Amino acid sequence: MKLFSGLHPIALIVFFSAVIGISMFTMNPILSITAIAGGLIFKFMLVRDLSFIKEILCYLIIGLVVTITNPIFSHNGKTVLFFVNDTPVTKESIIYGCCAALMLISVLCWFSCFSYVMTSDKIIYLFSGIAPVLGLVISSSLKFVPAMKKKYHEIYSVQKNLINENSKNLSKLLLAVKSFSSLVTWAIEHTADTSSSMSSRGYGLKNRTSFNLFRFRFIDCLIIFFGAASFIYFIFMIRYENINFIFYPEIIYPKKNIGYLIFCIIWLLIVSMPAFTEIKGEIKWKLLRSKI
Amino acid sequence: MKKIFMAFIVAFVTLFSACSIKSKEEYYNYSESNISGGDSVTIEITCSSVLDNMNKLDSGLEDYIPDDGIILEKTEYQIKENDTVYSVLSRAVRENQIQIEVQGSDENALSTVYVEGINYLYEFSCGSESGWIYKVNDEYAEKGCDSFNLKDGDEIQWIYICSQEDFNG
Repeated sequence: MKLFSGLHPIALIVFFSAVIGISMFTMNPILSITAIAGGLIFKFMLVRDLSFIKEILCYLIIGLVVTITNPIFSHNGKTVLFFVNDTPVTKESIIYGCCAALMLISVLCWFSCFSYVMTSDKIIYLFSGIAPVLGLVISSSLKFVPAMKKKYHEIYSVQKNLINENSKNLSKLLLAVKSFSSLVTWAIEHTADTSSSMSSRGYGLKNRTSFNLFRFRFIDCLIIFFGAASFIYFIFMIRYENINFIFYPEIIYPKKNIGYLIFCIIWLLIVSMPAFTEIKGEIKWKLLRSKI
Repeated sequence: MKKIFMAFIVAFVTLFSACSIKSKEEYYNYSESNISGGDSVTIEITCSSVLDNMNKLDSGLEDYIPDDGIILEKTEYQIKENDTVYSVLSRAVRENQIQIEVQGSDENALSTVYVEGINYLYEFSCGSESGWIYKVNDEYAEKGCDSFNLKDGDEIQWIYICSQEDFNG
């Protein structure tokens, strides 16, 4: 039931580049909050377990740190709240920090969706034709941290049980260090293994094709067009109009004209599309199942 | 876990007690005792070069540029021994309630105070070559503003420049 992730890899990468690219360059809390909401719902529809709550907590901590850090380093702004050691803390710098945090969280959130949806086979498919080495590097680096984490827990639990039988005076720290050292050995060996295995199978050779199940359908065409068009419209908007907030010395909202309104509607459509597709699929699935 | 939590609280309290928090009124009410009859200097803060380069100015700042480009008119200040250009500037902006942001001498490689912005007008706010410089007796000083010692009758000018030509001309 992974409807959105069943799209063609080219459509997916165009869509995600557009969303992440736009949310990276907008300092606009309204757009950022919309993006975060869409991204989080989509991520929840994909994972559906408790790790989702952990992720939200992580975002909250990052957001808090960024919001607190900005007023420490920036003292610009018209409304001074108070002075700490004769340096002003202003309302504008706190709000700027908050908006920067929202922007950061929206990018992180969409990247986590991206890494969930773009599995290694899709990345290899996309890059094996143009840049085989780059494709392999991207796919293995995306996989690297989760794989290491998983392997670490395996090694750690084995070591713990071994030690409980033999000697009991090994500290927790020493145990962790021991497990980490074997993890590094495993990682190095694994890298060498993967690369030699890939090259012995002729990866990256000319005229070599590989089997895949990706079919380019009409909906992929639509999504590529939609993503690319919205990105071009966005570039046009930041060039000639202003969709970003101005924070210093006082907060100025972007002009509410037709262009801005259209951009907001397009943005809402884009970020809600993946979540909407998943929810629609879910409802359809539930309805069909209940009839049986 | 409890120990870590306690350590955090202790660190936070120490940090908090090292800070002195003042309200806006308290901060600006302060004034240094003026010794009358001593040596005196004059200080002036201008940004008239921005008026010729309004198209390069960051949006949102237009209302904060004075029409004649003078942020602080020529004002006389009594100086004590060891007073520098920076100490006079910080006293002047505090008494006239002008916003300022400086980079302390411990924060940059030149180990001298660097004035980033006065009156919301920052470095790079008006083109990529813009920023604050100062003149003493109509001459550019080759020193940081916190190491330039003043003598009686010096005339300080803080000038905002928009390009290298302003500096040379």
